[in-house]
Amino acid sequence: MSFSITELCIGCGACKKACPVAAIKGEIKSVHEISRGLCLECGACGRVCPSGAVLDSDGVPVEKKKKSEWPRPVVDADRCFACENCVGACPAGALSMKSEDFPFTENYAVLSSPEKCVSCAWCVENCQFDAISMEISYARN
Amino acid sequence: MRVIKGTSNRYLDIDLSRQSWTVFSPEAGDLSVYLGGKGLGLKIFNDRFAGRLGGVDPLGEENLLIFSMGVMLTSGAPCTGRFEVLTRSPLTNLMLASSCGGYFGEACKTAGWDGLIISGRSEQPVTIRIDEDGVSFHDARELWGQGTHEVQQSLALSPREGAAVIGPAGENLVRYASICSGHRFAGRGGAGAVMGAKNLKAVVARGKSVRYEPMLPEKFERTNKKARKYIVRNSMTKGYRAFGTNVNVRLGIKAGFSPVRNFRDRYNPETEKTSGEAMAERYSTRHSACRHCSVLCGHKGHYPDGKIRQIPEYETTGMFGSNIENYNPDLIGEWNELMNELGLDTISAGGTIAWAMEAAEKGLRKSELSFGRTQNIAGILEDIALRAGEGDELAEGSMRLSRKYGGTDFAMHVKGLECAAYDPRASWGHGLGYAVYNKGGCHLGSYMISLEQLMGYMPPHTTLGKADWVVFMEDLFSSVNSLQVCLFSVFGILTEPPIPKYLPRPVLKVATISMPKVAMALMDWSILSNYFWSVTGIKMNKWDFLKAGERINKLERWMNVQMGLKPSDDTLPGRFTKEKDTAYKGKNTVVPIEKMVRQYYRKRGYNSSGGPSASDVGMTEKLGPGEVIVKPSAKIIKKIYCSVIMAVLGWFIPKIACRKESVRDEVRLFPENYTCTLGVWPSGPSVVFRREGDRLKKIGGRTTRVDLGIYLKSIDAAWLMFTFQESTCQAEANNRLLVRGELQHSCTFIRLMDKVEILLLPKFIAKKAVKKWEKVK
Repeated sequence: MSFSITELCIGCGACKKACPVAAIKGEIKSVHEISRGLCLECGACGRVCPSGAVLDSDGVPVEKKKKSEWPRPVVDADRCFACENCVGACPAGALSMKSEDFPFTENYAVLSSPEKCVSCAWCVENCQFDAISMEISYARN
Repeated sequence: MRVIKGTSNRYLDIDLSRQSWTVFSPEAGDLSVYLGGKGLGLKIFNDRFAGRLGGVDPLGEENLLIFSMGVMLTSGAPCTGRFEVLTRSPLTNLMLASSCGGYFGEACKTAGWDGLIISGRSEQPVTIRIDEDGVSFHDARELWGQGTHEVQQSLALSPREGAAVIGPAGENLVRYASICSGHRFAGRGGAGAVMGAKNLKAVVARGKSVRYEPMLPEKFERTNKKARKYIVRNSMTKGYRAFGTNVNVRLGIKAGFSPVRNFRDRYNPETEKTSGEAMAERYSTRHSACRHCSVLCGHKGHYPDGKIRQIPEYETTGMFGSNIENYNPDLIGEWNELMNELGLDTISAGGTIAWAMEAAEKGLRKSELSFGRTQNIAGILEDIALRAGEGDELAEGSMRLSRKYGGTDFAMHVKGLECAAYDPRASWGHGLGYAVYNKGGCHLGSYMISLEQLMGYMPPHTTLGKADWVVFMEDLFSSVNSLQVCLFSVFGILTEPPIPKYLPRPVLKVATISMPKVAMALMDWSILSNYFWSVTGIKMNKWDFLKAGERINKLERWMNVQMGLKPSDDTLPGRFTKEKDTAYKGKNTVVPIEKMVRQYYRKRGYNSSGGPSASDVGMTEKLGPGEVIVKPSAKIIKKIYCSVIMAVLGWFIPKIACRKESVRDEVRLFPENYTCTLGVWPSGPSVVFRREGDRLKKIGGRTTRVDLGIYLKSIDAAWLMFTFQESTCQAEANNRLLVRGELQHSCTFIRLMDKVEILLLPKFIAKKAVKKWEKVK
């Protein structure tokens, strides 16, 4: 299953920009479409849609949310073993290791490109050491 | 997202010849009996070819390639990102089950499938794409010829997709070609060649459509928490985490299990240059592990040429380092990358090349390869994968080459599969593991060296208790490979509980070999059985879990026997059993393999076929027309009585009877080292003797490999004879005896037994037992 866009779509293109894997196609001012094969079901498209036109895989409309209210991964550096599995799993390329110069015993993962993060929580799923939690960072505003 | 409780129990049954597919659901009970993963894969393979397993051509259209996922995949438990590939191996002609840690498994499972059963052969190169809706077939002519990573790039995999692919080696049917997923491999035994023979370049799965939830979430969480704690703090996994599997290199130098010059020397101080510690410093290594891993044995590093490469595993380092006299780790890293790209099993490639080097040195076969010469290795590896020039022959593996050119004593393989880089002369139990493992010379059948050397839990140079431990570890690992949890994590789970952890080493060493069963009971693998229980909801304790492993192992053995495995295949290369003196300064030994294999057979209850009886694995024996199985009845008193008689004979013949000259005369008629058995067919009490000099020596109560076997056809026949109601001659006349072996020796044996009876029994009884009573001189 994947997310889908209903007739409510006004063709603004916001979802297209938000999608980390270019799964959305459509011309400006026409109804957009999500490619079923590519959709990650992260919900980024729905959270930026001004007209509430995006339905999740259960058919429930996705609620719009300000980017600052999106939960994002916070890595606990003390718990992180630098296995890089979260970096590998991130579909948006938002995570990276702190520094290539550190030995791996001191290295840890960081959210290096928070603007790319789509709050899919794949990093959390892939962390074996409970080092990542999804948090809403109000401090950034 | 769709949620599945437990597991889907649905396999995709794909026919490449017709480009069609159906859904196959194994019988409901099979999951609890065979656990999934390897076990269920074997069951499916066996059921498809019931009664005609021997006729399956490994590289033919008929052979099946099964990807089997296991119930733990995607559960989120540590070290569970693995899947199993099963097929009939083109290298060993036996069953092959190889484990791989790539993302393909997770993608396939989260597409809603517990596995794939691929049959047939495509006319043209083809790629299969699967998702939750099913299968589609795509032309792969453009991808043919590409390397394993190159093709994964060409397939433009989305983050939801994982692929299992082959490289040129698989396409060209190299007998030890591997299957690759991400940067992990189902390496051993040539599964890649089977995929190549089917013209299947890649299988791509699109996952993340289905989510799995354990049936008992609270139990699962409790188990999970404990497992994580154990795995993270265990000393063996800590070593692997810091330096990768190459942490074994230094131990190998110290304990003498390094493979040096095709396993000739056991020792070379220069091996230190390829140690995990040295490489960690030289390449400032990083983790590069399987998904969901908490052991983190996989590493990558910065090489001097500026490239980031995967650090080779210990086995690759050994086979392409000291074993061919190369002590430059940069080269091993480059060759490892090349072999990964070509899709070659590094252990078998290394073993075959080392054999070719020694064969050339001994003048058996011309080759451009020689020990210490490294310039031509990369070229040879490409030639092997492309089957060009000398590579065409080397692609056949060391067993086939040594049969053609000679040099079988230094062809370091078991059943055709090249031995991994651990010399068993430093670890006898590990040697037994190589010899009896169903797959061949793989180190991960029982990985006894971990207990004997790496963790130091038992003395390595004794046969005591080793058969028990190999049986135990094989059973455990068979179950673990069916759950699909990484074997390395199991050491954390097994040895972290307080008793094995804090018991002083000397006590532990005595306990493990003198009271193996007690020592096993002190270890705790209930985490593994609780995993299965909590995920599937099928109740299972740790002993049930072990029993399931035994079932799986015996099923695999039974299948192997159908495929042509002989008891004589359960042995080690001559070098390990004959060549004692090496460059190693510590204890130099040879492996007493025959004795240990005998013990192992006894523990397993294998019969003369080299495997379990059909009823032992729940099969019905295939009978010819008019054949009926006659089995001894379960008459306990008669059985005990006959066992006592056998025990008495086993003591009396070597100790007393062989003092008499005329008995010795009879013994001399047997060839030296001749073995004979007297027993109740098929599995009743028995006694086995071997001629040593002019005496017979008892060598065990029950064995399967004898030159002469005299069996009483049933326990009732034995009762009649041993209660002297019937003489031996009368029993033979009444057709109660069965002889397997040469007739002349069986007559000698009967004469000998007559003399023994005369010596052993009072005259009035002996007269009933023998044809004619004569005093024995």
